Amino acid sequence: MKKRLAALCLAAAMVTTMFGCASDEPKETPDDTASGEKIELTCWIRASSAENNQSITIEEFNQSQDRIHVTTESYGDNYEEMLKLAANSGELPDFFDVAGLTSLSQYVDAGVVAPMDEFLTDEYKAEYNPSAFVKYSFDGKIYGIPSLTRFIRLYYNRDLFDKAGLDPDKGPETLEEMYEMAKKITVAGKGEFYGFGFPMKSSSTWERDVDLISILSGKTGPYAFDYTTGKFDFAKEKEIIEYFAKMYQEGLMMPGAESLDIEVIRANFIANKVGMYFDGNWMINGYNNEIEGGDVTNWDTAIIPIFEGEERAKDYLMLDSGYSIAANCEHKEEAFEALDYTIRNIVTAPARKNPEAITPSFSVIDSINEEVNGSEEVQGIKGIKGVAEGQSELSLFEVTPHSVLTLEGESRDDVYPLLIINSDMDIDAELEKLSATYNSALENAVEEGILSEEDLKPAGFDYYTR
Amino acid sequence: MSETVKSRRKKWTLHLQMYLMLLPMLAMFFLFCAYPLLESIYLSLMKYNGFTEPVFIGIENYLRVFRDTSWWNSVWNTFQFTLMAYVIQIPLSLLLAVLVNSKIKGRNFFRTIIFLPNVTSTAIIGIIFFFMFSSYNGIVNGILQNAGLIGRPIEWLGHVFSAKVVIILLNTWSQAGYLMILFLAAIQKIPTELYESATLDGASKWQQFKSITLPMLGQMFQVISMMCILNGFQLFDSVKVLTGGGPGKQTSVMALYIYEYFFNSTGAQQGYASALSVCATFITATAGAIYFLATSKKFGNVEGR
Repeated sequence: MKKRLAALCLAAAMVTTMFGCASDEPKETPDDTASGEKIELTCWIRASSAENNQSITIEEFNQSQDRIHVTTESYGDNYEEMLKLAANSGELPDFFDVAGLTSLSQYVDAGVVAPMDEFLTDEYKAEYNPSAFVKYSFDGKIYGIPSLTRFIRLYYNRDLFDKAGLDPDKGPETLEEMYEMAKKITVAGKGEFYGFGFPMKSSSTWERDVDLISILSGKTGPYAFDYTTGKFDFAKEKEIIEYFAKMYQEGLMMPGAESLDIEVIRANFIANKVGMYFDGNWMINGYNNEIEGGDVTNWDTAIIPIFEGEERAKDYLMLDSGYSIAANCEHKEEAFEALDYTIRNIVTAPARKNPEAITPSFSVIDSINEEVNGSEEVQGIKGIKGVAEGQSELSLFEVTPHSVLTLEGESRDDVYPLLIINSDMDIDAELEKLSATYNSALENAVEEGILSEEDLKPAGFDYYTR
Repeated sequence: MSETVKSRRKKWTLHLQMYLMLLPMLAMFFLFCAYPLLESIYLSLMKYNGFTEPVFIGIENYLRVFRDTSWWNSVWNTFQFTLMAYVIQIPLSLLLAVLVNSKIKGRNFFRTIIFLPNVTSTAIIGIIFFFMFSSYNGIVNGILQNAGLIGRPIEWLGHVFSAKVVIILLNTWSQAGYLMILFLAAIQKIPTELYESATLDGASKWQQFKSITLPMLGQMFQVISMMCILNGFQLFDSVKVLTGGGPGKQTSVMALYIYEYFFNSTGAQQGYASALSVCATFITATAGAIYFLATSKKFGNVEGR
């Protein structure tokens, strides 16, 4: 009996402890309105290391004044998942990095992002590249400000060009020439180095390599979306896919292309194993200042070639970085102040972090670019040649429909690698199927009011003058 | 009279005590199993991206499941991996168990070595296998090239067939040790008298294995087979790390396919992913039930009557 009683008590104790743990303790809310106290804000950033350009700049902001203190949290690869979870539970940080988010419009639709128009005076806007306020503008309101301009260039290894008997001062002018060069480099490499790097495991490759050529040739926008018809038309990228498939099948690409991501290609590029590949303008800073060995390897940049006989259209400007303020932020004005400071100072952060670093500026604020890039040091930095060329040709696509679609079927990121790897696939049928999948999702999105017909088919749209 | 009341009260106390003991576990079960399951069923009837308000669309998600050929390809892959696990891992681990149970020198060493992969996380094993089988600078290609067997590196993970072989190899390597330990425990429980009398009767080692060891392992076989099937259907980590389901979605399995729809950063479709997971639960439960019915003795008796 005693034993049983003891057991009963034990069981009861277990239950009470459990519910005791689960009971809701009232959360302590910091009383930031108290006089003399600093206003505490939180900012989430995508970077994987805790000390990065953004966190450094924000720390400098904390020290530049004594009213606001911003705490930064970096999340790396799982950034968007964390952000979505936080958005779902209404716990978004006061302001946050929007770099690489699928589509900010989702967050705007869910009502978790605050518009910033009240802070954006005409005078303020005048300082910025006009594209900056287009990127995150929905229904006439501005929900985010990008910080950096991004675009793609061809990176090539001068030493390998030399070894293959090519002129290292000249990148390929046409895709046909790029193919010949890749062939010569591969032959000269004898299995030690290869002509071209093509990281098929990174889904961004399709946008940065295939779509980009399509955009530059005036065929389509990103994801084969044709703004002249308002429809997706993957068949227009057929020639480009076949071009890369040929390179792959002839062994001109670094082996393992189908299971490599961009980081591996970069490491091998620096190790003199890859002759050419496509990458972002930001890598000029990465190679010169951050990646070990990047300043030793003899590399250069050039603009992306297109097929012979084609007329060159406007270049693809991406503005996928920047910041937004959460709708639940209680101190929007202060958050904007911190965000504005960050955007203005982030481009010079690497130089403050390491006084020896020389970094070109790719800011959305033109005056900063002029000031930084005007210096002799920056003009002599390795790889500046191709990056500086054709900057005036960069232009943004205001609406990118692929980013808001709910696909029912295979995405092109699943299909394109197969088209490159398997030469026996029926490419026409596959591309037609892709167009059907995307266009049907597009129709749904228009019906649901996520996209509007006018945005899809802007009046008088032209790839050459847009 | 008072005796009855006393015994009733006793019974009541006993029941209360049992339920109180069960309560923590039941609460956890409802919180982490039953509630998510019900929520999944609810979401499977919705169009929901994890963000905006869910919209009720009836069984549309389920109809889409039937049209989705990539999904059925993943289901087929799952079946293939499960079958291969069954066909390769069980005989192999039994063989290993018999070997390390015999009186060979350093058998504890071998037991440890074979069991070792099991204490390593699958994600890490996946990364190691990725490096071993990567096309460029991969160890396997290096060995084959140095031996002069191949000229150009083989793209192990880039082609569906070879990628599947590597996944099966990884699973076998990481699982066989654990199954071996289970078999070993069962073998050691077999009374030695049986073997002694068999030896006296002049039975050979093979005859002993066939007529004593195998029948005595019957129950353990059932447990291990069930584990193999359930593990096979839940396969996720090794595929995720090794191929990510690629090329395309050709080596994907059910769990990975669902994961990608649920957590995909480019447009999550949590409603559809929920419908897929309800289907996956159904498929796994059916396969488990069929196996259980086919092997259970009770079933045999009913049939026999």
